[in-house]
Amino acid sequence: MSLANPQRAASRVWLPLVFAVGAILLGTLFGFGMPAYIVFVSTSVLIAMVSLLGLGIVTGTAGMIALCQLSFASIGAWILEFLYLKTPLPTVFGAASFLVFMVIAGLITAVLGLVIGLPALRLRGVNLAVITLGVAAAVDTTVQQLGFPDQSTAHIPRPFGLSSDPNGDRGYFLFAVVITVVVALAIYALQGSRIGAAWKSVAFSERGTASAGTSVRTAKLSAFALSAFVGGIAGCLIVGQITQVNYLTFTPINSLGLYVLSIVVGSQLIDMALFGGILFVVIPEILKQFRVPLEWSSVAFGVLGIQALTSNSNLGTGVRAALFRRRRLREAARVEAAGDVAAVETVAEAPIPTGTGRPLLIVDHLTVEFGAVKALTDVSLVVEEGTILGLIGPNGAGKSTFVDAIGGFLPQHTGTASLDGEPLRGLAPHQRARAGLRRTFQQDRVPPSMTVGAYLRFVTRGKADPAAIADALQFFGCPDASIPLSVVDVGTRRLVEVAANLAARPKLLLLDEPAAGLSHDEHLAFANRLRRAPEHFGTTILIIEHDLDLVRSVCSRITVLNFGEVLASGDRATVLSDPKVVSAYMGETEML
Amino acid sequence: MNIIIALIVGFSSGALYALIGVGLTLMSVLTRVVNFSLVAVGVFGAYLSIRSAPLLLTLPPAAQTAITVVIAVIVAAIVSGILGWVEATWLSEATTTARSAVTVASLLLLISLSFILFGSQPQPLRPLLIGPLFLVGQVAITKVGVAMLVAAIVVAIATWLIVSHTPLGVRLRAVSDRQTAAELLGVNVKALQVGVWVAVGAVMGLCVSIIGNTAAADATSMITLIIPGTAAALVGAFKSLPLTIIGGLVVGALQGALTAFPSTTQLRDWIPILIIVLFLLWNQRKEVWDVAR
Amino acid sequence: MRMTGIKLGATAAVAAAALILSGCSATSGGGGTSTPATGTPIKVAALSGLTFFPEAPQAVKAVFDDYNQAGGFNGQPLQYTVYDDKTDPAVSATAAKDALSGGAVALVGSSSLLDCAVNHQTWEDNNIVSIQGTGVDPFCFTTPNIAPANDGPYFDAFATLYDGSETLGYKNICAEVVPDNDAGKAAYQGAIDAWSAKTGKKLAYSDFSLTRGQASYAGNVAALKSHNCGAVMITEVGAAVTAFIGEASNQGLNVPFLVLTSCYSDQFAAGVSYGADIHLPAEFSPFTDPKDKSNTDWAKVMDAHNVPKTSFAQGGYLAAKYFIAILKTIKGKVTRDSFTAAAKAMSTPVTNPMVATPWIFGPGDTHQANKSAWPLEIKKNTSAWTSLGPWLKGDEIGWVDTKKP
Repeated sequence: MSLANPQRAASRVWLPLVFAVGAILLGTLFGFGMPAYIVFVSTSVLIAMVSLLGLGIVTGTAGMIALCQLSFASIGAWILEFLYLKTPLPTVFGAASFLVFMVIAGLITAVLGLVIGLPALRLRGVNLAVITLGVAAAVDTTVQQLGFPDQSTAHIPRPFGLSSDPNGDRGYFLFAVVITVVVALAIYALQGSRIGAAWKSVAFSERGTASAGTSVRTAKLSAFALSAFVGGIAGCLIVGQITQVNYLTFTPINSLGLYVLSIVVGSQLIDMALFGGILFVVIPEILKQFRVPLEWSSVAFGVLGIQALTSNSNLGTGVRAALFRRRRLREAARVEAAGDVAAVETVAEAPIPTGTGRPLLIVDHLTVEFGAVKALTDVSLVVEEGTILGLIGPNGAGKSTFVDAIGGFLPQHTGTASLDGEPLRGLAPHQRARAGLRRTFQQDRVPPSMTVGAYLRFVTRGKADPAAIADALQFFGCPDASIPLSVVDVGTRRLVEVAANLAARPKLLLLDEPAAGLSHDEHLAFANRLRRAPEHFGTTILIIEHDLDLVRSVCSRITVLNFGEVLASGDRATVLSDPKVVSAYMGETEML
Repeated sequence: MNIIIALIVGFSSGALYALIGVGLTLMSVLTRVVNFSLVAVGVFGAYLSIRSAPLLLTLPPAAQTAITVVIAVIVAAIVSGILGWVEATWLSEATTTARSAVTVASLLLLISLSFILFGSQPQPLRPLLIGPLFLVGQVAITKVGVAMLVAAIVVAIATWLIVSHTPLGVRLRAVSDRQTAAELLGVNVKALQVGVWVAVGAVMGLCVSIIGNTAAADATSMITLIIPGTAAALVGAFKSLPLTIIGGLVVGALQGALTAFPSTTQLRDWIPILIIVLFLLWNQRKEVWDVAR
Repeated sequence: MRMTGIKLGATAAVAAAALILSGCSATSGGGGTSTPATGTPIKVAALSGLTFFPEAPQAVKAVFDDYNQAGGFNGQPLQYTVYDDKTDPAVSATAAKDALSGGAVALVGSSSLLDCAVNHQTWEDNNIVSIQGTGVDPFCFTTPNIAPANDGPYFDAFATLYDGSETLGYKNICAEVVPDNDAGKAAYQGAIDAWSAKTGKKLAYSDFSLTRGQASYAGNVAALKSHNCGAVMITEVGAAVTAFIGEASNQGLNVPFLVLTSCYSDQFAAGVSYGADIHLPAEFSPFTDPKDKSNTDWAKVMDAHNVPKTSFAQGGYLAAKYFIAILKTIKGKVTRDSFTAAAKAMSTPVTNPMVATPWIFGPGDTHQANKSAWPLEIKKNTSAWTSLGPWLKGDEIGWVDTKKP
C-alpha cells in the first residue's frame, strides 16, 4: 500500500500530459484527414468546450449560478478585435499577435469578471443569478450599440498567418485543439491545487472555508476571474474561426443554454465539459441534417436540464457512477473496514494531558449581543497550553456563540481575546486560522466533492506532507486518503474534520461537539485518541461536548456556561460536583 | 425635455416591471422559487389564445375578445401549473437555487418553443387597453401603465390579506417555512404549491393580454421582460412586495429618463443594474456568511 | 492527381453531353407535358434566418419543384438545400462552409439580416454567386458576387421619405433608425442624404439609438413628441414597429408613420391599431390589391405549394426565376464556375411585372438592379392594406446607390 501510493501519484501526474499529447495527435489526424466542413464545425465544438470549461469553474466547482458566460466571450472578442484594428500592436507582434492579444483580452476580461463577481461576496444563489442575467442583458445591448470593431467590414486575421480557406480552417482547428488542451490541462491542475480545493469548499460552506484558513473572498473572486478569463479566450477563438462577429453570437439566451447544458453534463468535470461541447454543437448539426429548425435543439436542452435538475443528477456523475461502480463499491468496503478499525482498535489508556501551565488563550469580559438578546455576558476564561478544556452547559447556554466569537465570526463582540500573547481583535476568521486558531463545526462542513487526502491538504494549507496526512488519518482511524468524502458517513466525516484540523498543527483547536454521531464504542476510542492529541500534534484543545462521560475522560479543566454566563470554572472534579452545575444539568435532563 | 417628464415617461413600463416583480416576489415567498419562466407562461398563453381567432369570427367583437382573454388565462395557468407540479413533485425538498435553476431550463424551453410556434413575426395580439388615460402637459399617463400599477398593488394587497388574515394564508406560510412539518399536520402541500403557480400564471396571462403588443411585439422579446422584472423584485430582495413595486417604478423611470437623453444610451442599460447591486450590497451588508451559524 | 482530374473532367463532359441530348429530346417531344427531371441534380443552396424569413426559401423551393416537374434543366433537376443561419454570424459562416462543401453551384433566395456581411468574402473566394431573396445589410448591394432581388432597406427608407414628403406632403418628418452597426448607419445616412439632395428637405429630428429587441420605446416616443414631428419614418422590422406604434398610441402620439417593406404583411395590418395613417413603399407589386394582375402566377405557385403570401415570398419567387433565366444561358456543364461566369456575363435584363425595374446580374462590382417601389397604406383605425401606387422608380426620384462601407 505504501509502496503503491507514490507510483499511483506519479502516474497521476503523467496521465493528463499523456492524454494531452494524445489529444493533439488525434486533433492533427482529424484536422487534416476529415472533410473541410466537418473540421470547421469541429472547431465550434472546441469553442463550446472552452466556454463550458470556464463556466464549470463558477457553476460546477464553486457552486454559484452565472448566467453571463457568453458576455465574457463577447468582451474578450471585442478586446481582441480592438487590439487588432484600433492599435498599432499587430505590427509589433507580427504572426504571434493573435496569441498575445488573446492573452491580453483574457486578462482584461478576467478583471471585469472580478468586478462582476464582487456582488457574490454578499449575494448568493438566486440573487446572484439575477444579477448575472442583468449583466448579460446590459453587455448585450452595450455591445450591440457599440458594435464590434470589425463593424461587419474588416476581417480579423487568423493566428500565424493562417488563411480563411479550407486549409486555413484545418490549421486553425489544430490551433484551437492546442488552446483547448492547454485550458483543460490548466483547469485540471488548478482543480487539484489549493485554489481548486478552496472553490469546492466555498461551494459547500463559506464558514468551513474560512475556518480552514482560506479567504472566502479570494476563493469566490478567483473563480469568477478565472471563469471570465477562459470565457474571454473562448470569445477570441470564435473571432479566429469566423474572422468577424456581432452581438448575436453572444446573446443572453445562448448563455442560458450554455448554463443549462453545464448542469446537464456537470461541466466541473473536465471530461464532461468536453463531452458537453460535443453535444452543444452536434445536436444542432444533426437537426440541420434533418432540416429541423435549430430552435428544437434548445428545446432538447431545456428538457434535459429539467430532467437533470429534478433527478438531482447529471450526465457526468451518472456516467462516472456507472463506470466506477466497482471502484466505489471497493472504496465503500474499505471505508467499512476502516470504521471497524476505528471502533475496535485499542491503544494503551493515555492519561489526561496536564499541559505546561502557560496561558495560551486568554478571554477577557467577552460579551455578545444579538439585538436585545445577550448571548454571552462577561465571559472570561483561560486555556492553558497543552491541555484540553471542556466547555459545557445546557442547550442555548452560548457555547457555540463562544466558539463563533473566538473564531472571528462575530466581530461585533465586546471584550478581548488573545492567543499566545497576540490580540485577536480585527482578525478575520481565515486570518485567525492562519495565526494558529482552528475550529470545527457542529454541522457537517466537510465538502463531499473532495477526497479525504485532498481535504486534508486543503485544511492544512499544503503544510502537511503525505506522511503527516497518513499519520493524522491513522491517528483517528479515518478512511484512507484516496477515498472520496462522498462515500464517508457523516459521523466519520466529523472525525476527518478533526484529524485535518489537528494535522494543520494549530496552537489551539476549538472542537464543537466532535463526537456527535459516533457510537458509544467509537466515543471511547475517540476519547482515548483525543487525550494523546495535544502531545502528538502540539495542539491545545477546547472541546464543547454534551456527553459528560467524554468530557470527564479527556478534560483537565472544565468551564460551565449557563444563559451566556460562566456558571463555574475550574478543575474537573470540583466543577462537576458543584451543586449549581448539577442543578443546571438536572434541569435540562428533566426537560428532556 | 426635462427630467420630470422623462421620469413620468418611464412610468408605464415601470408599472409593468412592478407587476412582474410582485409575481416573482410572491412566488419566492410562498413557494421558495425565483420563477424565471413567469413572463414566458403568460406570453405563451396570450400567443396561443390568438390562434383561436379564426374559430370565433362569427361572434361579436366583444365576445371574441373575452373568449381570447379567457383562453390566454387558462393556458398560462395550465403551463404554470405543470411547472409547479414538476417542482412540487421532484424538488419539494430542494434548495431555492435548485428550484429556480429548473425555471431557467423551462425558460429556455419556452423561448425556443415560442420561437418555433410563433416565430418572430408580429402577431395580432391586440392590447386590451391602449392610449393615454390623461395628459400632463405633453406627457401622457397611459392606461396600460395605470392598469399595471393598480394590478401590482391589488395583487400585493390581496396577497398580504390572504397570507396574514385567512386560514389559507396560515397554511401557505406553513408550507413555505416548514414544509415537512406542514405535511405532518395534514396540509396538502402539493396542492397548495401548485395552486400558487396556477394563480400567478393566470395573472400573468391576463397581464400579457392587457399589454398586448405594446411593450414588444414578438414573443421572445416579450419573454425577456423578465429581466427588468427580476431587477424590480431584487430591490425587494424577493421578500418585500412594497419595495418590489417601488423598485419596478424606479427601474422604469430610470430607463425612461436615460432613453430621453440620446447621449446616455450607453449608460441606459447599466444604471438600473448598478443601482440595484449597490442597494442590495448595502441592504445585505450584514450577510457576510452563507448561513447564519 | 492531375491525371485523375483530367479523367474525371472528361467523364463529366461525356455525361453532360448525354444529358443535354436527352434533355433536348424531352423538350422537343413533350412541349407543355414534359416528364419530370431525373438526371444528375444541380445543387443550389440558400442561407436564411428561417425564423425571420421562412417564406423566401419556401417560395424558391416551390418554383424549383414546378421547374423540376416540367423537366428541369435539360433533364437535370434542381436540388435545393436551405441552411438556417439563426441570425448568428457564427452559424451563418458555418452554414456557408456547409453549402460550399455540399457542392452548391449558386445561392438562391437567401434571406438574412447578416448573410452578405458575413459571407460575401467567402463567396468571392470560392467564385460562387448569391441571388439574394431578401438582402438587408449594405454588403448585399455593394459587393461583386451578390445581387439581390429586392430593393433593400436603404432604398426603402429613401422611397418612404420621398413618398411622405413629396406625394403625401408631410412636413417635419422625424426618423427612428436602428443602425445595427456603422456600415448600416452610413447606408441609412446615405439614403437620407439622397432624399435631402433631391427634395431640399431636412429631417426635423433623427434618432439612431434604437437597438434590436429594445425593452421599451417610451423614451424614444417621448422625444418624438417633444420635436413636434409631422410624420415618423422608422426602419425597424415589422414586429418592432408594431411595438413602437403601440407605445406611440399609448402616449397619444397620432402622426402618420412611414415604414419599410418588412411591415407589408397581413399579420402586421391585423396586429397594429393606430389613430393615424401608416404608409410604406412595397418592394414588389401589391399582392393584397384585388385589382393587381402582376402577381397572378406568383399567387398560383404559392397557393399550390402552401407558401404564405408575403413580400419575402415574392422576393424568393423572383430570385428563383432570375436564377433559372441565367441557368438557361449556360452552354455545357452547370458548375459553380460556369454559373458564375454566366451570371457575370449576363447582358439582357429579365423583366417581370412584379417589379418596375428590370433585373440583371452582370459584371459590375456592385449589384442593385431592383429600385422601384409601390406605395400602400393602412388607413387610420383600420386593419388592412390599401393599394395606392403608382410605381416610384429610383432613377426618376433621385436615388443614389448605396456605397460600399
